[in-house]
This record gives sequence, structure tokens and C-alpha cells, in this order.
Amino acid sequence: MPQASTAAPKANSATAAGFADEEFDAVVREHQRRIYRLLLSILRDPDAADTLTQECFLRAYRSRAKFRGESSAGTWLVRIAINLARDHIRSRRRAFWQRLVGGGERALNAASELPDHAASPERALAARQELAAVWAAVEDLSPQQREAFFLRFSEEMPIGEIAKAMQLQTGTVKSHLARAVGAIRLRMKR
Amino acid sequence: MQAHMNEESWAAALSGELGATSQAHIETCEECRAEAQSLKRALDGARESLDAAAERSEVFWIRQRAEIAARIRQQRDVGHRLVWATGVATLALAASLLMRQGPPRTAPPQISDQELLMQIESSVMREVPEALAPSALLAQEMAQAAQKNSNDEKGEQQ
Repeated sequence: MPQASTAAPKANSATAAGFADEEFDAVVREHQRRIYRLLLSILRDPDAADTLTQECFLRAYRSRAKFRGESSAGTWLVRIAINLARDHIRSRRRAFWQRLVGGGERALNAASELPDHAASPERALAARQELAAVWAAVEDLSPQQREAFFLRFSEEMPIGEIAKAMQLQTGTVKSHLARAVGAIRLRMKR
Repeated sequence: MQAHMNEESWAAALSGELGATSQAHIETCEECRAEAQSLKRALDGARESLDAAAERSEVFWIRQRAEIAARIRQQRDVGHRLVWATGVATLALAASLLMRQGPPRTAPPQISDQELLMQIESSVMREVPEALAPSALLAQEMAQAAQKNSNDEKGEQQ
């Protein structure tokens, strides 16, 4: 289960002068999985997610002196990761979400390999259909709606932290989430 | 019967932030309750499938940390090299500036007003300006040599 917006205690204590080198190593250890998962969910490309995770921490290291602890280290890193993902998508000019077909199938396959909690094959089939509806709906979302969706429902970040990470008003984040949920509900009713 | 929940209420409900009104509605509305359960299940499934897709071995994370550390070291080395290069360049620039200035200039000797007037007077009295004195001397010697040659030729003829 992802841990939402938990920051290294040392990182938070190092607010006045940013992170020291030894503290930064602890920050990497604590957040690398989460950043990788977020980038993978947005990009649907394991190699790009790996490269950008490294880049995310490198950028954070470069600007570690500027970190003032106004938000948690996790939120700060998520913001860097989101910006990197946006740059990546823009620079490569590709319809990355098309890769959801491949990535989504992989994710769905992975889901089908999870322990089956359903009581019957019918229930398992229904669960898979629900999951497919979620992915199909996510495919239709705008990039910002998608980011908000993953941050809320995958990373389980509070609305306020999502707003800080995405540099949006909380009302806008709520609106993105409402649209995302609306799209999913619509898909599930089909 | 209350109106069904709107999209914002659904988003809040699925985030575990269900308001009192929506909570009351879900408790009484069979349709919304069933839909909420279905949505919750689908979102939980999506999260689990993402977790599974992002799951990597410990070797992957160790390798990733090592690469991050290596890139940070590389950046630090470049930074140190830049500091050194800047220092050396600054020193070289300072040295070249010092060398261009040459030996320290000495102030011209102070002379009295009377001496200055005498120097001016002697300059004015000169037949040839001081700067042309070597040329005048050369012209004088050439004239003397020509005179001597002329005298010698006359002597030989006689």
C-alpha cells in the first residue's frame, strides 16, 4: 500500500538549509518506490519511469538547498516527478496513453495474477470488467485529470497535497477528480 | 427520497471523505449503495494492479539507488572541477593584468619655476628644436664632409 505524503523526518527537520547529503540518501530510499510507481502509472513505460525516477532525485539533489519544508518532501518530489513526466510526454510528442493498451493489459494481467478474493468465476469476471472499465475511463481523461486521479486513488494523497504537487487550487483538483469519477461511473454503466 | 449524489460527492465518497448528507443518502438508497460498492471495488482493483505492475525486485531498487548516487557524484565532481577551473582562470587573469601594467611609474622630478623658465628660454634660443638635434648634427657633418672633399679635389688639381 502506498504511503501518502510521508516525508523523511530528517528531511522535514532540515527545512532551513535544505537536505544534507546523508539525509538525501535517506530521502531516496524512502520515496523511490512511490515516485517510480507514479511515473509508471502516468507514462506506462517501465524504462522511462526508471530513467525519470533517477532524474527526479537528481533534480531534487540539485535544488535541495531550496527546499524549505513548506510541503512534505514527498509532495516536493511528486511535483518534480509530474513536471518531468509532462516534459517527457511533450518532448517525445507521442500519444503515451496509447501505450496504456499495452501497459493496461500488463496491469490487468498483473491484476488477474493477484490472489482472487472473489467467491465465484462470475464474480471474478465482473471484477475484471470493472477494472477494464476503470482503465478505459482513465484513458479518456485529460492529462491533469489523470494525474489527479492517480495521486488520489493510487498514491492516496490528500487533496491539499495534490493541489500543492500539481500547483493547482484545491477546487480545481476536486473538479478534476469529480470528472474522473464521473467518467469511470459512465464506463461502468455501459 | 433525496436526490442521488453528484460527481463531487462521488469523488469525495471514494476518497473516504463522505459528507453527512451523502452518507445518509447512501444508507437509504439501494442503487447508490450498490454503485458505491462497485466503484470502490474497481478502484481498489486498479490500485492493486498498479502496485503489481510497479513491483520490482530489491536488486532493481539497489541498482537504481546506485545509479542515482553515481550521477550525484558525477555532478559533484563536475562542480568541483568547475570551482578549480574558475579559480585557476581567475589567478591567470589576475597575473596577466599585473604583467600588463609593467614596472611602477615614477613621478617626474619636481623642478623650481626658475629652472623651468631657464629650460624654456634655452629651448626658444635653440636654432633647431631639441627633437631634431640629431638630424641637424648629421646635416652638419655631411656639409663638413662635402666641404672637405671639395678642398681635397682642388688640392689634387693644383
